[in-house]
Amino acid sequence: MTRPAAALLALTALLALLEMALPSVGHAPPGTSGALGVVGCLLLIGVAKLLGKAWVERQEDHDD
Amino acid sequence: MTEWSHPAWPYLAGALLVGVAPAAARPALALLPPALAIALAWALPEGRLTATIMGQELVWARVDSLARVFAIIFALIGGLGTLYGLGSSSRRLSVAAFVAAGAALGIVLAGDWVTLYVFWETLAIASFFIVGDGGTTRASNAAFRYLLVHVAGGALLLAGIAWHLAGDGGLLVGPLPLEGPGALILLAFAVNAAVVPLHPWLTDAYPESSPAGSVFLSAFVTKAAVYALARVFPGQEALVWAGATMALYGVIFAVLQNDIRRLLAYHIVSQVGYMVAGVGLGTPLGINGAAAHAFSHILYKALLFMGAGAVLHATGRRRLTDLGGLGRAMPATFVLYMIGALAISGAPLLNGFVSKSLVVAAAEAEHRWFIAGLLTLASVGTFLSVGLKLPAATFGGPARGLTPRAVPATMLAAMTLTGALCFVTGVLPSMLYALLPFRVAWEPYTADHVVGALELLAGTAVTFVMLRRHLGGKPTITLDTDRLYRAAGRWVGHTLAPAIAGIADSLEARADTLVGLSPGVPRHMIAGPVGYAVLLALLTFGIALIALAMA
Repeated sequence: MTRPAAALLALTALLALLEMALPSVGHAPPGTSGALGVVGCLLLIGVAKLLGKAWVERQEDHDD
Repeated sequence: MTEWSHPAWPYLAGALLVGVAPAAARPALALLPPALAIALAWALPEGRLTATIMGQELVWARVDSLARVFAIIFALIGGLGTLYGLGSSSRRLSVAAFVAAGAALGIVLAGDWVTLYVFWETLAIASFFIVGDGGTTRASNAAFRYLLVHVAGGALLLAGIAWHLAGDGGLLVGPLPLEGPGALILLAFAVNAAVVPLHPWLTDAYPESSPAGSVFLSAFVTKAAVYALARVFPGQEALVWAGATMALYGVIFAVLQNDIRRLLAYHIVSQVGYMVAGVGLGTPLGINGAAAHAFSHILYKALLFMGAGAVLHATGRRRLTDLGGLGRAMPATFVLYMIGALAISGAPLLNGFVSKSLVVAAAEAEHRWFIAGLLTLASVGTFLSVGLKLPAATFGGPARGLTPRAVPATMLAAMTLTGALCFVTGVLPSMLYALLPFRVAWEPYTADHVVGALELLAGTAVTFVMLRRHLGGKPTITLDTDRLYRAAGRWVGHTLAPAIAGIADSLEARADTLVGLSPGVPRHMIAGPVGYAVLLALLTFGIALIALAMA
């Protein structure tokens, strides 16, 4: 893991800890948003890349 | 006696004014219509303006809180877009943009179906000219495809209205059931709202216009359609799912884009999805969320297109693979772009945080946890593409030997004002709430909500940084559902239009023979635009006739 990624991960964990200490009016447990950010981003990139390779991506001169 | 005026008038009269004014006087005159329209929209009282035409009383303006919030933002963005393009807009763009702004105001204030239809078609035609303002062959082709789709959508609307009126439906625009004419009208609204899979006219056309043209395009058509959906189809369950699908579809396709303005265009589809979902929920919180998000979105999306347009203006480049390292050469553009990017991503202190929260909260309030989850996931994708991928590849990364020319002061001034509005309505949500149709009790700035939003952004950034080398631009394009009508268009262009033109030719030759004249019109003039125009007219009237026959 690169240093910027590690720093951002530490920040996400810190925010999750902070969330634990806060009075919550939401429904999700602390850290859910951070986890959704990490995993959701991974999921969206994966789906997009798969869709692109399998189906929709073409060379720029496709319409020429 | 009428004590107020329709805010469309300054724009429509202004279109005439800038159309005939000497080029040197145009910049000075161009800001007057928006200033007047903003003042009129702000001062709109609840009430109606009516006119009796052919025995029918038309309500060409009906003001309530839903119409007013859209009228204010349309009047405002017309002014900001005008300021942005003050030094660079062509006469054609200035006229078309004013007509589009006037038509958009006409739609949201229309009290009857006839008025709504007239302004609906006016907006389509004005937008066609704005797309074509890109001045390239690609822009012309995209503009023509745009017109084809919107003429078809307009035909559906006309057919639906005709059916509705023939069935003794009222002339006033109001809620309709999702059956018969209502289904046709919903389909027409869905075309303009860029509901998937009817959306690709947007991602095809918007990136091809001029920098200022894209700013106007990003504001009017889809949001006027969101207003129409909120007015006529609030609470339709299908819209909840359509909206959530749009929100995710847009962000997934955005990941694959290399053209910066096409990437932003896919995010219009995504963001309009939040509004459509809010309308579909149909609760006061949902409708408030849709209206608030339309208001916020028009501002931050305009800012993003202004930033992308500034890059295009300065470098002549629009592909991520051709850009890089511009942050140092264009610091003001970079900072202002990032305000828009953080706003659309839902970062606290900016307007997107407030309005997006309203829509998600509306879903949660109805215990629609899955829909709320999908909308939150789409928010992750928004930050990924608009807040991280695009700026990293455009303003960050290695310099590519670009020496950008200076961005005009009017462009930067418009971006600064738009960014300031994103900030002010973000830190003072009560200003936005005061304009919404229903009283708002939602408080976005609770500690856990703010921390949760920051967590979401930080978590997204973690994955982006880890996978960054896979997320740069690639010299590719993506196919979308427009391939279906492009194929149909090729068939029309190569087979059907020449056949119709041939018939017209032969009729003309016969007529010429009868009156003893030689054929005077070259065949190629009929085979091209005239052939298409005949087809469009046939399509429009055909659909209207079928609807009338069914009524």
